[in-house]
Amino acid sequence: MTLEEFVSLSAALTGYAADVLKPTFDTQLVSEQLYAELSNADNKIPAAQLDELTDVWASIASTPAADMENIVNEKIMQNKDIARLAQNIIYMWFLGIWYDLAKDPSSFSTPNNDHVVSPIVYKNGLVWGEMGAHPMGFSTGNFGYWQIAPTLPPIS
Amino acid sequence: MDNSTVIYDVVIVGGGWAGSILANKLAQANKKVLILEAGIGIDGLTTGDSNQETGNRGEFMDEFFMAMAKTPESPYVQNYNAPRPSVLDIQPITNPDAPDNCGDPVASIKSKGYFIQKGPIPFGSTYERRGGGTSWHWLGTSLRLLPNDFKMKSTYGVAVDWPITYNDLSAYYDQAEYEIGVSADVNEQKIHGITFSDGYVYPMAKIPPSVLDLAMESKLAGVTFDGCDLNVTGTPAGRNGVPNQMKEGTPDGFYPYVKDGFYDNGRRQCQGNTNCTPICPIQAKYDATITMSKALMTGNVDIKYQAVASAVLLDSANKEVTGIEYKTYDVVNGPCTGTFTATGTKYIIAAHAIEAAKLLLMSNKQLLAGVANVSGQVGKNLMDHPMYLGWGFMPENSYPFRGPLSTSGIEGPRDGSFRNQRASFRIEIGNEGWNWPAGAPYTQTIDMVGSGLFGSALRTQIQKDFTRQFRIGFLIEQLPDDNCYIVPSKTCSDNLGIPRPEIHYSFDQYTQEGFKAAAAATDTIFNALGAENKTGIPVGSGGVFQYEGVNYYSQGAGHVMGTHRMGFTPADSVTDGDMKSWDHDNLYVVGCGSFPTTATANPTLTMTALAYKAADAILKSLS
Amino acid sequence: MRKVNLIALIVGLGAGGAYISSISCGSSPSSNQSAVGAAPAAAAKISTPLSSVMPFDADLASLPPKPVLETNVRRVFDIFSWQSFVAMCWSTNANEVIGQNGDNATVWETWKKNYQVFLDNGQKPAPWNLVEQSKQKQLSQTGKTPPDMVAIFQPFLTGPLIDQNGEYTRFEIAMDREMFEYIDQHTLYNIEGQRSFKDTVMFPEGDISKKTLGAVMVKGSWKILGKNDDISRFHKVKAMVHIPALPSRGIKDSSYEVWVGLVGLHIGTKTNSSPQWIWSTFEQVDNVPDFGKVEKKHYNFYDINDTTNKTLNKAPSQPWNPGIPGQKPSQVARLTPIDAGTQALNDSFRKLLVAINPQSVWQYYQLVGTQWPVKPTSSKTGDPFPVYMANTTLETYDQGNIKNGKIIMSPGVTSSCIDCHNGATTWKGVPSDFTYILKTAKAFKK
Repeated sequence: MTLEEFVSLSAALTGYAADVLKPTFDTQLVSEQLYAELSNADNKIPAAQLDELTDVWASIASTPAADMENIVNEKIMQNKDIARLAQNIIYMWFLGIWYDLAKDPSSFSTPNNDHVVSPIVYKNGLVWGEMGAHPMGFSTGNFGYWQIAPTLPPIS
Repeated sequence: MDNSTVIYDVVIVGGGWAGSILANKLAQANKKVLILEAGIGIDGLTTGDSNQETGNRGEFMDEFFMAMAKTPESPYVQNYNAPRPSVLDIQPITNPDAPDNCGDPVASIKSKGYFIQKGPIPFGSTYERRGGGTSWHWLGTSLRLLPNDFKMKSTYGVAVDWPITYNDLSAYYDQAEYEIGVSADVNEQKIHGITFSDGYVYPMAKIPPSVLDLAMESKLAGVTFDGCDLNVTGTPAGRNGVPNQMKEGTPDGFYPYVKDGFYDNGRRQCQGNTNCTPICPIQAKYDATITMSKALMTGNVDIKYQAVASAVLLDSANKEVTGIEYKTYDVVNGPCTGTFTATGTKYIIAAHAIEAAKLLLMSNKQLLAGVANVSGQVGKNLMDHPMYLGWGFMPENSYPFRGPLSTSGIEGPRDGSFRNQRASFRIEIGNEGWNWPAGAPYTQTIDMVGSGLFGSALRTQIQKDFTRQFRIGFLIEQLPDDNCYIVPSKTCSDNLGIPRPEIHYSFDQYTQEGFKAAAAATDTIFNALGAENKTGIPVGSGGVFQYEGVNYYSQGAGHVMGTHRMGFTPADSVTDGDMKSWDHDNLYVVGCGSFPTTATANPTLTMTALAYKAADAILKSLS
Repeated sequence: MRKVNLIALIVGLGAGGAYISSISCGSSPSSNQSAVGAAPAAAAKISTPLSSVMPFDADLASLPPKPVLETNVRRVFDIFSWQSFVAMCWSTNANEVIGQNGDNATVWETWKKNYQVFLDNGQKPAPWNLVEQSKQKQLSQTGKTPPDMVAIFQPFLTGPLIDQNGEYTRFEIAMDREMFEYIDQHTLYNIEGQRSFKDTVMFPEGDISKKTLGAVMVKGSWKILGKNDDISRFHKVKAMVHIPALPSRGIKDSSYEVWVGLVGLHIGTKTNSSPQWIWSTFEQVDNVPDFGKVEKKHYNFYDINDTTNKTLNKAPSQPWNPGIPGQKPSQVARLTPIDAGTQALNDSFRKLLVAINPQSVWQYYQLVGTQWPVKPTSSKTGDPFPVYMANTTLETYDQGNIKNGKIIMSPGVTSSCIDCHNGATTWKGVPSDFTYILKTAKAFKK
């Protein structure tokens, strides 16, 4: 999977436009760091799974936007072979975490390879902005911003 | 490592909150002070030619960012030479008589935690051992105790009275609020008989309430529980708000940071990082390193890090302390590099309620029961504010994960005639959704994705659920109890060979009734709010207990109190009201361990006031 | 009256050939100098493309199509930084080109000092008057003259910076006329004025199309020149330095006059392209080595014989007081190396400065970096780039950390000009437009 394919797949999985995930002037380089996790040997991603996800995405990447989520659901999220890997990509974007593929992400069983990808990736986790908040431990708000309701990002 | 060239007026064990306050007050009065701190140092807070390891906020933030579980301990790496407990260690105690199996200290602490928990309920609170102590992850709440909190025995016929009254402490509260830099509104804080001196103003204006606070305030106005109003009020906080003009006639420099009649401590205003615990990234929240820095700048204070006190030494008549024996290590988790003795005129143990009691009890070579323990009360009366959490969905968006972790609370239930039978409580309103009880946003996001949501449906669900999450926390009063105590373990030690704390802990009926009332109050509050109650089994479920057939899940508040309490006589207490040992003329024991009862207010402000009171007494005795 | 002054600045781009930027500027209304092109006869003998004219803003119009952030865009802002630096360090003598005589009294040192704006009595400051301001700078008298350089601590008390001679680095803050006039006109020079100010603090912005200069604030760091210092490599002034009292060590409050050399210079400029300000930072080239790349030379703040590096980038031991004899020097390394493109631009400007005079002290200064908001309207901080930036003399202890031999940076803590200044507020507790200086105001006293 190339970086470009990873970003377009990520857009389909997260519901964010590719140029939001990887903006033209990219100061944070989140997509590069998440993409690198796919080739991180510690993550022990079965080659067949990554290949299948790559192939499936290549076959549906040009689906018209209106049909995209249905197709992604059918071809990826309902596909037991690759659904978990796709979910892991979602976790990375929203939570900044790679969850060990060998266990349930909500389980704390050890040892495991769960890990925060990096401080910058944590800080850019999509879940925080989605709820109108900021990552815990990194706010750029003015004193007292919390008295006023935020504007939530539009969902297309 | 020889201090023989300097004659210290005071030796302080502990470079945390109380130690910093005491050191600064004594140093400003030109007294020579030595501090022994068990843990690592902090950049900029060293003296002499120290080559030891120090840490800084940037490193701690990095640890926090990279931690999978963002616990209060997550920024602060465990140090097996001066270990501390972690909330991740709290498990139900199924077999208290099982062998401790702690031959390898590091492996044992790693797997089961630092405490040797004997139960029946695991003690849920934690602390830090490093420069600045637990102040690194305090929340910032700076409430005063209520006048009745000082006289539980005479007012309600339970527990004991304090040897001091609210009025005795009032001026020290002023000092504490100036040093910490508390943001609050005087008029709002005049509840349950709390009074302030004429014209008093807090250093900074009250921290603005959150969207959630405002919603709760309007819906709970006029609602009562058990005869107590449930009004929502701003919580005084040791975090920077808008500077106040001080009361007329406040002279420059009389209090720290007052210049031209205005307050300013030079640090940034709060930016609502929603991270007071475990760490404020911008130090808008006060921590003890600020006061420690001022103390060191006087040139009157020396501080030794990686110096773990191991015994309090007495003269042959056991009347006076002659020195503090301490062990050093050059490298964190490395071997002990020597045993030394620090000497001075006066000695202060300000080492945290559990560590202070442990040290006094460990010092049993001359007195079998330990130092300062004629009363037998050292280590006894271990107390916390065990917490009950209630959580749910607000009927409308209340936007959690914004602002300081908590900005308001419900203080009505802190006092009332019911206190002759059941624990009172205060209710903290959390601004961090279900982060504490249910691991938000991680757990719920995993659930959503695991159930098949992705793309726009996932985004919609996040916006719908996370914007309405809220939780409240009840800080429940605990009374002094012989069944709750700490002793140095006879079998388990840390990496330096120093005994670990063995803890015996339970809730009496008074506290259990408090939990029952908290659950009932949760219903009252959620009904009034029109909120959907989702209270269930929390992530941290180790503190579960059953009362009248109902399971309650207690959480530690981090408010460890009572283990070296003040009192009226040498028979009933460890120290007098100046925190001077009844047994040894030149020994003071200062900290939350000095509290005879817990009341319901987060204890730090009161501890600070007590430290100032002790400092006054010590200065007087030195002059 | 604005004269158009065309500068062709030819800058080598390695193998990439030449880069030509045409920048149109007007002569600065806040400076009484003439632009170089129109300078009188004395200066005309020296031909240089360098200009005494402050740039209005980064020239984004000069960007190629599809610019790359790390190279093209950075270069535009770096050029802005260098042009600002050159103009600000230009000689106060209108007939003298920068560095023409080796060193020169500079324009920025005639700007208003912080203490000249925020008076102890909170009264209205004296009007902008370069002659008066520069007089006050030429501190030669002793006695009751206020010390120039009182500040010895870095922001938020992270610690002092001690040079190889055991002397404390001193800091000073100055501002340009635009910034001063805004503070003056809106009575922001005392606490009461700030607390009754009803609007949002918005300093004037530099604008190329309107030909307006923006608010500029400057923070300089100075070392006391002494043993082993090659004074031909510093911009030097004679200044009063201050030692606060420390009774426990028998040290009395005192001031004395001494030659100091410029080791660091922050320039913050409010502009139309960058409402979060453009943050340029310069250093004297001998300050510190890059982490892990120590050369065999004399550094101002690094001892090459200390191989243990136990105290690398750690604040000194307490107590902190410049009067204590024999203090251990700070051991400092730069954790973020200067960008290669920025370094190439440094070389180009160095050549231009040397061309004026091979003895120019200004050749020994380098741009460490420029931080600007990449997407100014996207958020309050506008997505600053580079993400982290530090001057080793001004944010010595906030550059990041070294963990297991690797450099780690922590968002929100590791030095980032915009992220930190975003939190600056007035005495009313509202945002102060990215400057902390308003908080140095005192109360009004009759």
